[in-house]
Amino acid sequence: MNPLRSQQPDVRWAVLLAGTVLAAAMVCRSGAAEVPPSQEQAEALMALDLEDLLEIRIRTVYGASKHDQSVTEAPASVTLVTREDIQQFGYRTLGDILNSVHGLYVTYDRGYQYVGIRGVNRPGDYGGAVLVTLNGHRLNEPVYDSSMVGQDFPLDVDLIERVEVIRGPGSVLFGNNAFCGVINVITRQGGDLQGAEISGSAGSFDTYSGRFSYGQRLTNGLEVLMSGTFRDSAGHDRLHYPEFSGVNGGDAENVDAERLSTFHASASYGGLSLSGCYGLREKHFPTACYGPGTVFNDSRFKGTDERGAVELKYEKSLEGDWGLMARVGYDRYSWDGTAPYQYDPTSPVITINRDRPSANWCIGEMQVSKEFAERLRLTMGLEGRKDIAVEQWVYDVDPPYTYIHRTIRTDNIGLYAQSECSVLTNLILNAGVRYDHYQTFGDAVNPRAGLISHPWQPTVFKLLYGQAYRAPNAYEFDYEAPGYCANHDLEPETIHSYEAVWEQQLSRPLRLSTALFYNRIEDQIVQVDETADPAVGGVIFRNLGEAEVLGVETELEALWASRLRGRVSYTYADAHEIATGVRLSNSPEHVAKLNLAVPVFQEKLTAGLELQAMSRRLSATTSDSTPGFLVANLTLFSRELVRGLELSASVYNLFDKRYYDPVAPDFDQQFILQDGRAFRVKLTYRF
Amino acid sequence: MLAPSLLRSGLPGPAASAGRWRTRGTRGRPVLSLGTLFGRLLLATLATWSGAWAAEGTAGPARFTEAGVKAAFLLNFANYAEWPAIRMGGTNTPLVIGVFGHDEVAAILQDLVQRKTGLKRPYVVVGLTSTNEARGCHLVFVGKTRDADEVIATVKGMGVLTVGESSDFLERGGMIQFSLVEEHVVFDIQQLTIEDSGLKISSKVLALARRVGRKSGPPLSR
Repeated sequence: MNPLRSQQPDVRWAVLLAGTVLAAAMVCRSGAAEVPPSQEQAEALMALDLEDLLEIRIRTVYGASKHDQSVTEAPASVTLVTREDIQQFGYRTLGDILNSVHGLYVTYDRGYQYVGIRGVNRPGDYGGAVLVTLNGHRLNEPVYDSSMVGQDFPLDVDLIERVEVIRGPGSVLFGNNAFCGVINVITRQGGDLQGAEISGSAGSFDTYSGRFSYGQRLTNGLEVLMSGTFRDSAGHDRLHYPEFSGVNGGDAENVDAERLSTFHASASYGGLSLSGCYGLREKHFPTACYGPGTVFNDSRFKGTDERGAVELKYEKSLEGDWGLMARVGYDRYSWDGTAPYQYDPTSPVITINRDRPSANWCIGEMQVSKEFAERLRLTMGLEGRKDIAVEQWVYDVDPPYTYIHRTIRTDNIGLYAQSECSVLTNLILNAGVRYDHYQTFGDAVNPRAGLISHPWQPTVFKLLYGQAYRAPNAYEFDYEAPGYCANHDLEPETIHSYEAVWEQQLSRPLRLSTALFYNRIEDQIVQVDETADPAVGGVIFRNLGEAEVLGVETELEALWASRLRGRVSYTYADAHEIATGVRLSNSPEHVAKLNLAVPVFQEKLTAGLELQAMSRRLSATTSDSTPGFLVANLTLFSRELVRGLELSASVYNLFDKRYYDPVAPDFDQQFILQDGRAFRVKLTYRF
Repeated sequence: MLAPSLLRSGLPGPAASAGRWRTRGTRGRPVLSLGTLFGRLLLATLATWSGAWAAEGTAGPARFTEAGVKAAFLLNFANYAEWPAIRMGGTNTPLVIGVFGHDEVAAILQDLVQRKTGLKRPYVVVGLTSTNEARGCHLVFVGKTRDADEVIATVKGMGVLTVGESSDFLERGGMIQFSLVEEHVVFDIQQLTIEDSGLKISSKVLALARRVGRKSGPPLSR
């Protein structure tokens, strides 16, 4: 459907009016003297002394073009969240961090946090529409494609230097899962710690955590870092689900506990770096999702996510403006779940079921880039992944029965190329393409093109087109068990994205950015019941359905001084199925956010206020909806009250607002009540 | 990841056939109509953009780049450093800043010296094409892609202030090193190397450095 080909007379008037307004603005502006960009910067720099220079924030992003570039030159709409933001606003998980970013929203089902970008957050999708990378290393695993952004993220958020949120399709460089966006988490290096750090926190629901980190940059340039974190939470002691009123009055008691540990270590010397992370997280599930049959209010319903990754990377800038990067890595993911089932509703016998998928894989990537006379930059890369073993294993303990136990070995390879060309002094053309070959489904080709214009120093225009895919994961492609049919004809989901971005630096502290976007999703992988069909005999995943999203996103950022800053944003997204015109589930039409950091006492105490509002959202399976809401979070953060000491006190959901998130269609519940008011105090000491 | 692993056929419950996009709503309306919320929002957005843009008048302050900030730092270092008398000649001898392997910094530095008033003496910015040319400079900035060793060896003991941005610049015998920390440009100083070359740097600069090395050995953290 081409939105511009509408026959409504309204459209033509709207376009005419808009065009006139723009033209008028251009006339006003052309009166102003235009100065070439570098001279303008020089003029501003002249007025600054040494202290001012140290205060300037250089905003760079890596994940938009797989090399460090200024945010304004990136072929995407990018948001950066820094360590300072994480401390000032008291973010506990990567999900909390992402929930503060415009265009994104995070939902929770008492098991996992799921990230939605620009109106797309499909309940039941395990996060495969967003790629999460750790220093460029893919974190999504091959079994469910899940992007672990909740407490299952295998890194303590205290170790995060910055998070790059790159909205839009990123398959041109990253391949699979870079569907709605790419989230690149960059970790702190040893030299940033220069010593030891010990941290502890206590919070609501009997939650305690502790961390010990050590990092150092040695004389010879060797940089090392190691860190370990433990967290233990008893969770809610009572959660009420009226859908289960037949069991214990619908109360799930003491079945929301969580325990996790994460480790991170890195060492780098010259251009060589070795880094690894490992996370183990056990959670009890109070929702008894996938019941009836699943036993409600049973502490045996729990599972552990395990994620480990180790990587050796070599990066070097060579003579003649060449850049080289090579990396090899080894990854592991496993899920060890236990669920008590009551197969026969007339008999009290409970059978314990185990679900233990796992995957071990290795990755390799090589990237070469060359700059020609500062007008053209070419990047080419080759990436390969070998799934050594992806295992699906589901069985009952007693009486023993195996539903599925199979291991597959697959591989995939991707080749990408990108060129960034300054066609005119103020105009950059960014074009790239990636070819992927998967042993499972075959080939995928994904291009991206962008025009980035810098007509005056404070203004940036971007016109972007991109295409991305999400390959069927092992669970969709290959899960063959009684009642489940594998589908080896599954194709990847694809998204075509068109975007126009305007970034404008206003008078000194203000910066305005607006993006207009249109996304079209095709070949969605949907689970359908074909038990009646003798050829299938169960549920199967098929490529069905098309959806589109049309929206506008706008953010105003103000940076008065390094400690006083604010961001306010609004996103409108009209996401609906094309065939029927019905809105997508878990898709809010309006999302608004406010973040304000205010110094309370000199530079030592800051208050961080966060407001998040969302309009109503539809459930996954029926026509119910959950109402819109506004949530406020407040954090008081102090630094250096005593030398080396950082203290923070946070209140989450300050006004104790009752709000719900839609969950997967497999749940009995359509919506899950989120946490009310909660607290946390945290202490970090550096020595 | 907790995912449904069993299909309890015959048990009541939400059918797995429930498509994941099962929702109710009205048929979509033409997209760009002013009757839709989107159409109105689009118009409002365009109006706001244009208003803000037109009202902006002459462009606001520039967006600072890493190169710009480093160039500004270089000018400040040159201003706050003292060279031995033999290198300085008369009060009108220009102070030569050489930039080796970073055209962007050189360009901005060029603009800065043309504009800045109240400098102690005239400044000249030279883009170096070979390491030998560094000898004629008072201050040399070595870009990341150039070999720091060669430049440092060439100007050793000759009263040239060496500034670099590679992560091992100080280890290799450089005097001032830029780093990017949490999106800010910071600098570390190896004071011993500066003094060995007969140069002095103002205590104002030393106070603002992230780390200052005073003895032979690594720069100490503050």
